[in-house]
Amino acid sequence: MRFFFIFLLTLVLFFLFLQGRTIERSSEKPIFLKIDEIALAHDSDIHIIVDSKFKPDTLQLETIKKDYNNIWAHLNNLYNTNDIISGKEYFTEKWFRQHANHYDGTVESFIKRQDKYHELHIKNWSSDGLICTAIDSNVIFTYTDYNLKVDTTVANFAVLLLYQGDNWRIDALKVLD
Amino acid sequence: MRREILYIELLIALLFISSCKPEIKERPLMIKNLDTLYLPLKPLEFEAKGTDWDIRLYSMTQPIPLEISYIEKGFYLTQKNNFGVIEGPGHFCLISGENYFKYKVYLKNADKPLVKEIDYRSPKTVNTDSSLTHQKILISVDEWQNIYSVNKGNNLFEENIIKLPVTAGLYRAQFDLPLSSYYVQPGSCTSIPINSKFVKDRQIFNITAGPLKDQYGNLVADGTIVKFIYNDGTYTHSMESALLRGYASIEIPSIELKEYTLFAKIDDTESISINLRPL
Repeated sequence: MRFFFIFLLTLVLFFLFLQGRTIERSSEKPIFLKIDEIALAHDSDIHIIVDSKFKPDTLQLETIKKDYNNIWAHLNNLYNTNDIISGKEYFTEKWFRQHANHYDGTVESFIKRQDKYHELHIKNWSSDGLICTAIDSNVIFTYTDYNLKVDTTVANFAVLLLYQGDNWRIDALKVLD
Repeated sequence: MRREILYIELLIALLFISSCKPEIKERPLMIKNLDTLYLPLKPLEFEAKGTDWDIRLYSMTQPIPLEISYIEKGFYLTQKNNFGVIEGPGHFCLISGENYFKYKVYLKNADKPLVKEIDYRSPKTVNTDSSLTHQKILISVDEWQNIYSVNKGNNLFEENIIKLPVTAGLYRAQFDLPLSSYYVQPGSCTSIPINSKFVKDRQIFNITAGPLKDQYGNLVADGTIVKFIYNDGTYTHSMESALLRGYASIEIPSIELKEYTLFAKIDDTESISINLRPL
């Protein structure tokens, strides 16, 4: 009888061990537990000018300023390394899918881009605060190449931002000549 | 003799050091010197020496994967896929050992892209009691997420305030775009028609309020609570019922052939009073 119980207990323990092994352990933390090191390390000088019919309030302006800074932190990281995963919280699904088309693994950077300055003119702000179109003018970029030579350029963009999930995300862009 | 050996050793060392110097390569020559590259990239030929080149093509947003094929006089590059990019200035970088060369190019999509106009509406829900106006933001975006001018005009974005239909329902500004959906919710009722019927077999009064409509004739939203207040001459009682398809009803048992006066109420809107007689 004693052997039967020991056998049964061993069987149960073995079963529990096997069950434990089959449970999938997700290595990805939920977004609210993640620390976004790339965004945290980025601090661009962003000036917001509101030209829209509907005006965002102070809190909404603070939010878009912070998120726009984070968007560019991840756009630079994407440019430098082709890492599309790190910035997925700041890209809409369409933007992500389009850029995933060119994903062939991350690459060693030959040029490092940094954005230094933005003048974000908000052109349209939806009354529910979920859509924002803007012209980002006089954007100053520095490109540090392989020989550590630094190039500074100025660019202008039209951007479409959508508020999805907990933050603003980039959905579309046009480089203005 | 010993000194001569030392000189020979020094000479060998010098030769060795000079042979270790990085090889300086000439800047590869783009055969068709192009300022603008159209993607998907057609084979792009370079005249260059060596077969150890590492390449990067940077669009405005990310590196584009390329393939390199070596030929007798140099190499040619092809794009690994057939997808488009965010158009704009880009860089071509070529590296071989310590040799680094950069080419400034402008990237454009070769094929005419599929441009779609997106009609964003806000707010997503409007009630006929309040404003029936809507904010409409129009944006044209192609399949590679480049922004285009709206209606092929000069404006990149367009915004209008438009009047909505007064009929309640779920609408889509664009049939194939769920994001453009909005809902016109019926407003509050303007009057409460009320009817009663005595059901002799069961000795009950069956009272029905409805159809309840808003100022535009839309049936008031399901679930709206209608309060029925009735008095038997001594006591006042009340019952509640939720609207379903514009109607709400209750049943009041007739006790000792009592008569009641009854009216229905939703917020500030009241029906007329009716008498309930067990006839």
